[in-house]
Parts: sequence; C-alpha cells; structure tokens
Amino acid sequence: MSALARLAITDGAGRTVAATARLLDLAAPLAVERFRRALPIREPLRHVRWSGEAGYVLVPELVDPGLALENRMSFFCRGAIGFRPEHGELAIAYGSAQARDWWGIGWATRIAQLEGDADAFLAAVEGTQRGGVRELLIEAEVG
Amino acid sequence: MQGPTQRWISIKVHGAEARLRLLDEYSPRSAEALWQSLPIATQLRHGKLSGEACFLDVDSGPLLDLPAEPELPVTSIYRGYLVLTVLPQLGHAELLISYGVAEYRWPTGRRYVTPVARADEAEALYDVLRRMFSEGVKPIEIRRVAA
Repeated sequence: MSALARLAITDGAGRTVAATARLLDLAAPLAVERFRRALPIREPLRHVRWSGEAGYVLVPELVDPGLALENRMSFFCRGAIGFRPEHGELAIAYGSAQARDWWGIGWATRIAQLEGDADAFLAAVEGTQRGGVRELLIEAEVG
Repeated sequence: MQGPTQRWISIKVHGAEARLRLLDEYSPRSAEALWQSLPIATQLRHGKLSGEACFLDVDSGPLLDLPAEPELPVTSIYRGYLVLTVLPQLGHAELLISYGVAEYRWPTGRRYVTPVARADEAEALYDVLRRMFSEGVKPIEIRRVAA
C-alpha cells in the first residue's frame, strides 16, 4: 500500500483545514522518495499566476533541474499534486489547471492525489486567489 | 501621441495611484466606451492564467455595448497597459492591467484583448499589483483626469 501524506492549510486567523494525499510511489518512485525525504514541508501557499485553478509552494530542498520527470502530466485534475523539480514546485489543483509558464506549456510529475472528502481543503487552496498567501504544512501520515 | 486630444484616466489601488493615457489612436471605440463608463469602483483580483496582471469585471454600461471581437487584437499585455475584453456570454467585460510579463490566456489557450490605456511611470502601482499575488484582492478606483 502506498504511503499517505497529511496536508494542512492555516489561514491568517489561525483556522486550519486538512486533507490526505496518497503518494504515487509506484508511478513516480524517484520523485516520491525525494518528496518523503523533504518532509515535513512548511511553506507559503500562493495561487498560481499562469496555470489556472491551483495553488503552489516552492520547496528549496526539492529543487533539482536534473531530476527526470516521471508519471508526466500537463493537465491537472482536481486534487492532483504535481511536482516540478526545476522549480522545486508542488502544485495542488482545485479545478482545471495545467503546468504553464510565461513561455508556454510545461510538464509536471504527478506525485500524489488527494483522497476522501477534500472539498474544504481545496476551497482553502482556491481562497488564496482572493485572500492571499496561507501556510501549507505537509507531513507524513502516521498510522 | 502629443497634442490637445489626449485623454487621461487615473487608477488607484490601495493608496497607489497612476495616470494612464487613453489609446484613442489605436482603439477609439473601446477607449471612448471606457471613458463613458467612468468612474469605476470595484475589487481588483490577481489573474490566474495570464501571468503578471490583475483584473476587474465590469457588469454594466457602455463597455458591454462593444462587439465581442477585439477592436485591436493583441495577446501580450505589456507592463503598464490596461486592456479590455468584452464577454457577452458571461455578461461582463474584463479590464486587465499588467505589472510585468503577461499574456491574455484562458484554460483553452491564448485569447485576444484590446489595449485601451497606457501608463508610463507607475512603479508604486506596479508594486501594489505585484503584492496582490501574496495579499489577495484590493479595492480599485478608475476615474477620469480633468484636462
């Protein structure tokens, strides 16, 4: 059984919403291993500017332009978590999104997928567009 | 363009104000419709597909009487430019202003807009627009500047 990660977003008022993601270690073993070694991750979550309905964090420990993409995706489905090693970026889609930059369309490694009822969590991701930056904490799920 | 026919508008966001010149020479119908729509006071949001640009919706007024086809179609939004798109299917028009590298895009790809005004020196405004990426929505006022 693949490992799980717990993601929690805390807003400026101290309210926290959480969700669980299943790590896709069979499809993206190198990326997932790199991700697990970087946990816990605590970074500011912002709304994307080019990619549509998603929020993202930049994780300095995950920056590796030489790391090959695995389990490639360009379009994100709701709840998908994409990893772009060239930026150390983890992006979480709450709707229709695509790996994009100013120069055009890119690719990401689909590293994890949210499971269960993640509506409140994804609403918090969406809320970064109107509400601004929030804190995202990602930890290994225990138990 | 120099001369007595220049028209200017003011954009104020979170205390930062800049003057923009209407681009009557490029897009006269759109510039006139914007002029007739002023003042506008609403909320400005950061874009999520078009890069370093913020946008506002206008739900009524002369802008909605313009054709959906852009008067002067461009896709790049240079820093300091205010651009317009009319979206009858959504019942509103969008105005976007760029503070850096921006291109008008939808989920399906590039789209086209009409440039309607341009700022020359607006560093304080660009700084506020850049911060919206982290700080969220802010109120915006757009009004005519007296000749």
